[in-house]
This record gives sequence, structure tokens and C-alpha cells, in this order.
Amino acid sequence: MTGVTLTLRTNPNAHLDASSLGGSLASQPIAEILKLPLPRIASKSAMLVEDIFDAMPRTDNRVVIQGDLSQLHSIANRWSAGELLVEGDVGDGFASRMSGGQVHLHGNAGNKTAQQMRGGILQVRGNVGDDLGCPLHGRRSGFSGGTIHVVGNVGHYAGYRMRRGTLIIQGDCGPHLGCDMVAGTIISTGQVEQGMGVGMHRGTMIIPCGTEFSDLRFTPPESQRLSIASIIANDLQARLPIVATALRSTIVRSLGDLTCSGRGELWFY
Amino acid sequence: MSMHVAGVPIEATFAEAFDMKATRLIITAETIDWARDAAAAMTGFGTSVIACGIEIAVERELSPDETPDGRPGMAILAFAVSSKELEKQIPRRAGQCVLTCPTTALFAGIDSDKRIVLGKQLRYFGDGYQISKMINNRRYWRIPVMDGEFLCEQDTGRVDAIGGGNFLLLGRTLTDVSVACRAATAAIAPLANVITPFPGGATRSGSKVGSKYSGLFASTNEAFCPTLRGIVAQPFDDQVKAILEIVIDGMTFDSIAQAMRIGITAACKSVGTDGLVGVTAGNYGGKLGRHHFHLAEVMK
Repeated sequence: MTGVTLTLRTNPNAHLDASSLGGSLASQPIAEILKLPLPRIASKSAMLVEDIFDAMPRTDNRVVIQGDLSQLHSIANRWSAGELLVEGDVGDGFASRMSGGQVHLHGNAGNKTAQQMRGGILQVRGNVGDDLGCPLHGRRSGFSGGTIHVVGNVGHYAGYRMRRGTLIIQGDCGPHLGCDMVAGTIISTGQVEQGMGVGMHRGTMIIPCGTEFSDLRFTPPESQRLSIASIIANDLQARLPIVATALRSTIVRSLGDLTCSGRGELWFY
Repeated sequence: MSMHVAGVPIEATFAEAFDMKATRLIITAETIDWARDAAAAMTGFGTSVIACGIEIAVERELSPDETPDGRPGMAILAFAVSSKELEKQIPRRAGQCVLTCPTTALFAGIDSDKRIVLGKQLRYFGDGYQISKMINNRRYWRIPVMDGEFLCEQDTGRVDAIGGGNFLLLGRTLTDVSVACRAATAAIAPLANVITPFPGGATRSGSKVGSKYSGLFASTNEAFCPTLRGIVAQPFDDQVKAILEIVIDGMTFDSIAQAMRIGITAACKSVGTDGLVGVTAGNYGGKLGRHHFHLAEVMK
């Protein structure tokens, strides 16, 4: 099919579960998209996409959603293929359980963004709320594959119980970044608040020199040259050239969290 | 003999080559010396599938901007008659020759759906302290060792290739044919996608299939041994005093043909008719290998 642009026509004046604007949306015809339900949260009623959106076909294959979507939650839920561009702020649970394709958000996202994400590329050109990449309720692992790139700031507990994948945060991070991290890579270029890496089992956090960390939880930093740093630098070259350059020289490395016999690592560049 | 290069006649015959399985590995190190040392160890005892299991040699040296981790490196090509043999030999050599060599790292040098394990097997040396990193859908293993970390890619690709392209230099003296041989292998050395796995790129022990002794499936090719002149029938005259063979394994038919053409040309030009009586090629009548490199076509 060709792509579609959905433009928010009227404010819904209610919080809606917009998880239908995800999954296989890229492969659905416009007529079907317009009939998708948008249930009101904590209510038994629902709206339809056509009630609040105008739809226009596109010449490319992208799906574009425009408008102030901050009352629409779980947009891009289970996104698995194709490209989605969202222009405007979105609610909670954005790109939850995403497993493939590309999702670009030109705006801010709420809490629990990329919850239990398993694959694909998510880029947010704005700020993100709390619990970025966290597990679903009752699950042990959070973000477990793909790449999340946040240009702005993130709230607390970003990368909580993260198991795989790459999380890039160009802005500042709230408390408890990478808390209980199981594996994967977190790269931050901004300020990182307290509680970083608490309960970290494995994985790598690449953070600016001078970031404070607990010397009870992590080994004394040591200068090291690692080949893997060059491989990661190659991957980051286009997005974070300054970090990439720093990684190609000597890095300072610290291991932990020692309080839980963790073998995670902090790289200071 | 209808074709001549620098006056040296090129026999109207063909080299017979075989289907093989191949892979490429990239070894990097802090200095090119360490990379060379690791490559030398890894490619040791890898001249012929007859007894070594694989034919393996350095393809070329790599500058830092050609390697995954930005350090100097070596590209190695390995060939075997079966994927099973390749899967047996590569991890064993990687473990004993690259893992052990200071400052080295080991990467896949070719992409393919068919894989040969590297770090997937070697990671166990880390005894639980190894770390896995998935970057751009490629998995790397970081194994702690005494000089830091040994970085090794999870696996490398395996492709279909060709082994056994060859040509023989018929010399007037041992000195002449040795000079011509060195010129040929030096000309082939910079080429991508081919290796000459024998010592110095050449062999003096051209073999035939079978033997009078049971249990041997290859033995000296007496028809090409000048010291047996008069005892066995030989396809050349008494001007030929020494013969050397250059064996070429390659990733494609065209890469072997190109290497043969460049090698033969260099050999002939180096000593001319004063040193070489002719150039020929080894075959088994075309019955064993399906790839035939006709010298007349190769030299066009």
C-alpha cells in the first residue's frame, strides 16, 4: 500500500487508548484505518479514528501522524515493520512492545515509552518521561533489542532492567539510569543524576567523565584501551561523533554493581 | 605450443580445479608485527588439504582504515574440501594462534548466511567473565586475557570457492625456475580474493592421485620429475631441468584466472627463454574437477 498522513482534526477531550495506531498500521488500507477504534481509558466507550483524524494518502510508504497527541496513549504499540513519523507530543506507552521498523517522534513522549521494546529503531526528537524502556508489569526484562535514540532529556529509571540493545540519550538523565540493568549498552552525553547503575548485573554504560558514581558499588576507575570501544565508536560515528572520537582513544572503566556481584561496566569518556 | 609470453611457449592445456568451501578472517593487533605473527601462526601447516585439512594463507595486509577496529591487520583466506573440515579447523586455529597472540582481535571477513563459529566457541575460555556485545546485528565476544581483552566476532561467513588453480614453470636450471617462480608469486601476492598456500607460494612436489602403497591417496608425479628422465615417460624434452608449480585458491573463477595470467606473465618476463623452456598446467584429464582454466583463454 501507499502511506497515509493522519492529521488530528479535533481535540478528543479524553484520554484514549491509541494502541490500534501501531502494529500493522503500515500495511492497512486507509478505509480500514479510519474505522479503527480508539477506546476511552477508564470508560466503556470508544471513538473511531475517523472521528478525530483526517486521512490523506501519501506518495511514499510512510505513515505520518500529526497533531497534539498528548491524550493518545500507546501510539506505535507493537510497531513491527515500515516507517512511522509522529509530529507532535504523544502520551504514555509510546512504541511499547515495538519489534521492528522505524519510528520517529518529533515531539515529547510521556512515561513508559518503548516499554518492553524488542527491536527496530526508535528516535525521539524531544524529551521522554519516566521509565523509558522499562518492563511490562510483572515481566523481568525491559528493553531487549534495537536502538532507542532520545535527543532530549529522560526522566527517572530509564533503561530499568534493560536486557539488550542500545539506548542513546543526548540530553540529561533523571535518577536511576540503568537501574537493575541486565545487559545492553546505554550512552549518555548529558548529566546523569544519582542512582546510576544501581543493581547493574551486566551491560555497559558510556557516560561523560566527571559523572558521579558510588565507589561502594563500582571498582576504582582504570584507564584501558579496548577494541570493542572502536567497534561501538564506528556505530556511533554518524549520530555522536564526539563520543565516537573519545571512544577511539583510552577510556576509563569501572565495574559493578559490586553489591549484587554485578559485572556491568561504566565507561567514562 | 601456439602462444608465447616474452618468447616463452605456453602449452595448450588446462589447469583443473575443484569446488571448495572458503572463508575470510581479519586479524587486527596493536602493531602490524603482532598481526603478522598471529597470521603466521594461524596459516602454519596449511599448504594442502591432502594432510593439513585446509589450505590457508594471508590474502593481504590491511591498513587501519580497512579494519573494523581501526588497527593494522591481516586478511586471511582459508579453503577446505568440506564445510565440516572448515568448521573443525578454523575455531581450533583461532583459539591456539590468535587468542594466544598479544593484542590481537579476530573478525569475520566475509558475509554469508552460512556461518563458521569463532567467538561462539572461544568465549568459553572466558570462564564466565566473557562479555557479549551485539552491535549492528553482529555479535562480538570480549574475553578477558592478561593483556586486556581478546575481542572476537561470534562467527564468520562461509562461501563456495575454487581450489587448485595452477601452472607449472618448466625451467632450464633450478636457479632460473626459482627466480621465475618468485616473480610469479610476488606478482600474485597483492591480488585480492586469491592465495597461494604453499611455502613461498610454490611447490616442488606436484602430486598425482594414488600410489603404489596402499593407504596413500597422493604421491609424487613422476612424469614431472626431471631426475627420472629415461625411466618414466615425460611430457617435456631434456632441456627441462627443474619444475616448480604455483597453486592458486580463489573465491571466484575470474580471480584465479586473473592471478594465473599475472603470475605467468611475471614469470616469463623475469627470465625469458633463457630461463624457462615453457609453461604448462596440471590436470587429471578433466575428470575430477569441474573448473578448467585453459591457459590459452586465461592468457588472452
